[in-house]
Amino acid sequence: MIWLIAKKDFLLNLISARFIIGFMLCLVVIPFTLVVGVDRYKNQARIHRVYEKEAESALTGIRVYSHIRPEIVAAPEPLSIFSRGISDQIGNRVKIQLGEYPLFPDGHTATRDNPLLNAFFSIDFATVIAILMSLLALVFSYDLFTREREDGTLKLVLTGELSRPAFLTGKLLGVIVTLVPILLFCFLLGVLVITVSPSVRFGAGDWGGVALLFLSSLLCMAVFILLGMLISTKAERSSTSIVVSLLCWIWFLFLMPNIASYISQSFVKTEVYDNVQFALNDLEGQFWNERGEKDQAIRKELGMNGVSHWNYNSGNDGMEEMSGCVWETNEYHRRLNTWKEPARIDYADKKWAIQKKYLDDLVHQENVREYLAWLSPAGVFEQIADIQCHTGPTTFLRYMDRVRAYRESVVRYFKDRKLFESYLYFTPQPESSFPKEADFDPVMETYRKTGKFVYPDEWNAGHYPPLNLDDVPAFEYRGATTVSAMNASLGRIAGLLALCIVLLGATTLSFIKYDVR
Amino acid sequence: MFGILFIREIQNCLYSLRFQVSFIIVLLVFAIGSISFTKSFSEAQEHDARYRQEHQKILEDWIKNASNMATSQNRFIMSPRENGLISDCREQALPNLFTYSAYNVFGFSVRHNSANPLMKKTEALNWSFIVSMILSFMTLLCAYDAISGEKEDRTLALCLSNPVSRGAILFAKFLSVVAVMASMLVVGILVSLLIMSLTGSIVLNGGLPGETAGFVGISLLFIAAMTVVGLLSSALTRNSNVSLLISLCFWLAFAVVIPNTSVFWANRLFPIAHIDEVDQRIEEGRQTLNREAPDGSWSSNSGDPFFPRHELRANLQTKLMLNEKQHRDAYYADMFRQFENTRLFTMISPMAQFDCMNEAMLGGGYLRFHKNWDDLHVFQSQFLQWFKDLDIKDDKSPHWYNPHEDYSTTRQEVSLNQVPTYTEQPADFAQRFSYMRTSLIFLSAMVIGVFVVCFVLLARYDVR
Repeated sequence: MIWLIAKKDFLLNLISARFIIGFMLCLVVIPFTLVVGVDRYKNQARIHRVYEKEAESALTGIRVYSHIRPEIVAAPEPLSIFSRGISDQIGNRVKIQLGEYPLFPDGHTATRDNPLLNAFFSIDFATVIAILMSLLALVFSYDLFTREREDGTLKLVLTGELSRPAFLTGKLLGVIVTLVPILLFCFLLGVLVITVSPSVRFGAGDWGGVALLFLSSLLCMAVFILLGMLISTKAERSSTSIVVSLLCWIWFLFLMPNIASYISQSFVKTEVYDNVQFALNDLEGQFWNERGEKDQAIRKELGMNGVSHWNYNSGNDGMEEMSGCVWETNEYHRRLNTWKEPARIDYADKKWAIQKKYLDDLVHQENVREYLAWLSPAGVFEQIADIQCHTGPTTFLRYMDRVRAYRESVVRYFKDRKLFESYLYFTPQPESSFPKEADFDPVMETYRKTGKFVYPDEWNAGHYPPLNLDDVPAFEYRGATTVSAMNASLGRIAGLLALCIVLLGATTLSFIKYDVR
Repeated sequence: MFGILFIREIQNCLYSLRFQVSFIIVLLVFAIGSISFTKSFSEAQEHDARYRQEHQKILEDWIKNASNMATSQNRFIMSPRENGLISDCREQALPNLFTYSAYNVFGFSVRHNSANPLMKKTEALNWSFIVSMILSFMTLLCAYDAISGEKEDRTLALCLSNPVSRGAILFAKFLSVVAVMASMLVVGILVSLLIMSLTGSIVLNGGLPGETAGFVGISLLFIAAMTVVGLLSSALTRNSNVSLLISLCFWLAFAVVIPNTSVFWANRLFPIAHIDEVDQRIEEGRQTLNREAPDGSWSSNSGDPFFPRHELRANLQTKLMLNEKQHRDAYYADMFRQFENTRLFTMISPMAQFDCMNEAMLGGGYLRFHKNWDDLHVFQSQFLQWFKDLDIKDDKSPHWYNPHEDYSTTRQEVSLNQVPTYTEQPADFAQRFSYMRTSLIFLSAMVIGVFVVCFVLLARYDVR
């Protein structure tokens, strides 16, 4: 009997206008969203390739250790096509520096080619699924009982032997049987778009993620079906229940997420990064002051007035390369580095205390938003989708922890090998071939005569072979797996499930007491 | 007769559940939005004051050397707008930081992490959001069954048996929905203003009443547009369920699909070069200039401004700057074009029209950004002129203008109040009006056009 009711409802739904319109809506919007996602992914992959090449070329042909400042470029997450999370707001490359901990990656995946386009928001597959499926769920369930009552058929049905819970189950099944194929169809469209796009490669883990997402969407849909049924049992007329349903829909889907983030942004204080930067600059200033003092002291030790270089170039974060300099110059740099580079690392620790506070505030703000968003089932679903597609803030924070741990290993690499105290940190020239003051006289002599500098090849940095960097630690990061994502989202899934059960219980109770007249 | 119809319609609306629930929701959101805004706005002002203080310290360092002041990359940051409660025009996401010196306006960017990067971007709960998302939805909810509902109940036939024209019925329905929504809006705004004045953190200054009135006017036009859309979906069918679905489809298309797909359309229909390609072109130009520069162009002697090669250096630096400026400015022009075209494309949606009109009325968003961008260029030439006037009076300077270094221009100390500073000027009325004119005309035309279609549909309705 239950099946009979379900089948009848299903068949009636199938020929209804709402089914056709809903189906058409999915047919138009879903592929479009996916194409947008694939497009975005393709662009990110392109940027990734460009950056990766730059990072690689920056590490090839290095002749001195001070040039080892590896750059980590994060590969785009294929599952971000389904749920974008915060991946659009976060850059994709991090430079490992001794003087500062990596806080946020930079790179223009975050800013786009045209920052003006930031003014336009965009939505992803998971959001569209949440919007459309919740709408369809409500549209199909709002009149389950009110319609039958209005038509007078409810009295008829319930006069038979059929129990009310059985009738309710049949009705519920009828809606589920109608909607699951639509949801499945949406996901199959997704799979189709992914498989025909040559630029996207999905591994087994990624497909696992999609399957998980499908199951979570089912759960989210079930919540809204039950919500619609509950409203239907409470309302006397269909026109009332549709209005209440739709107001619930707009509240849960469009208002609650905005309210959650607006409230948390307003009430949880965070610093503006520019102001954090000023505090960091103060520390940097202190470092340079100390460095100035040390510079004087070392010059005094060595009896030097000024420091002169033959070939010298320098960059940020202590990057230096020189050649053809006299022993005093080299020794000056060696002694300075022995103090300077560890001090730079110490200052990075001090800076990190400030940055950490800033980061903690941001995390706190985001956590508050997440808790507030739990007031909406769609908000919970969105968080589940982000976790399952590895694009949520938690995954990102874990990744950054790994990056910072990697920086530690690079620092250890320098310290263990005592590289700061080595000449090789800034010059490829061995100590034995450092020129003497007198060696410059013939060079200057020729210059005065011919206007050209003629000097030994050993004074050129390019004369020396590149360093062997095989023992430099490499960055390894194994992204979140389907299983770990499943575990991480388990609590929220359980929450949705509990909500389903509560709603089902409430609907049953309410329907048992329902006045069929 | 029209009066009776109108009053009856309003009564129907006011007694309906949908109005009551909507009213509570709207009031709630207005209240939450205003409370949050007062909090976040005062915090933003604090941050801004701190930033300006710190920035002042940097300037005090620069003025010790006039050349340094002229060549250093200065930053102009847009401060939080007081009328942000009406609409923030997405200024948090738009570029809000400009870099300039006396020689060049370099570019613009979104201030580093001006929003929490861990948090997904969402719209702020300001008045314009409430109108464009919530009130529009509720308008459709009120209007979807205005005609089809009466067709179903067969009351339309009854009504038409009276000496009343179909046009009057339609117009009464239209006007009543607009009036009910407007009352909801006005009450919401009053609540919001009340909260703001009670918390006292924001001065209700002279501009606000005018802006509020302007906002109400624009909102009325927008609500009228949504009402006719609702009436259209209602007139199209005999079944109110179907007309509800049609209304929902309209709303989804206008509020969700069109605005959220604009980035995709921007990249597909109005593509621009990638930034790394532009960088590469600049780099190529730089290398050519360096190659072609006469020997000794990079020589310098910080002790002697009159060192003859400083002139070469100044020339080369100027050329390098112009090379970069030329490519960048062309790219910026592309960006503006892309943005404006995309914007035009989204104008199919009344929500986008509404946002655009708000921007114009409040002088925010892209209008504000672009005005600052243009004004900064004017300011930069004045700044340069000031520096040149100063330099020409100094005999210790050879007057070889180098846009990046202080080798060959005056190094005298200047006082801070002597240095021209850029201050933001709000857009004037003519600018604002011309910015919103198209939207105004389009929305009005839409209201009239769709209303006429509804009328035709209703006139052809067979009451039997």
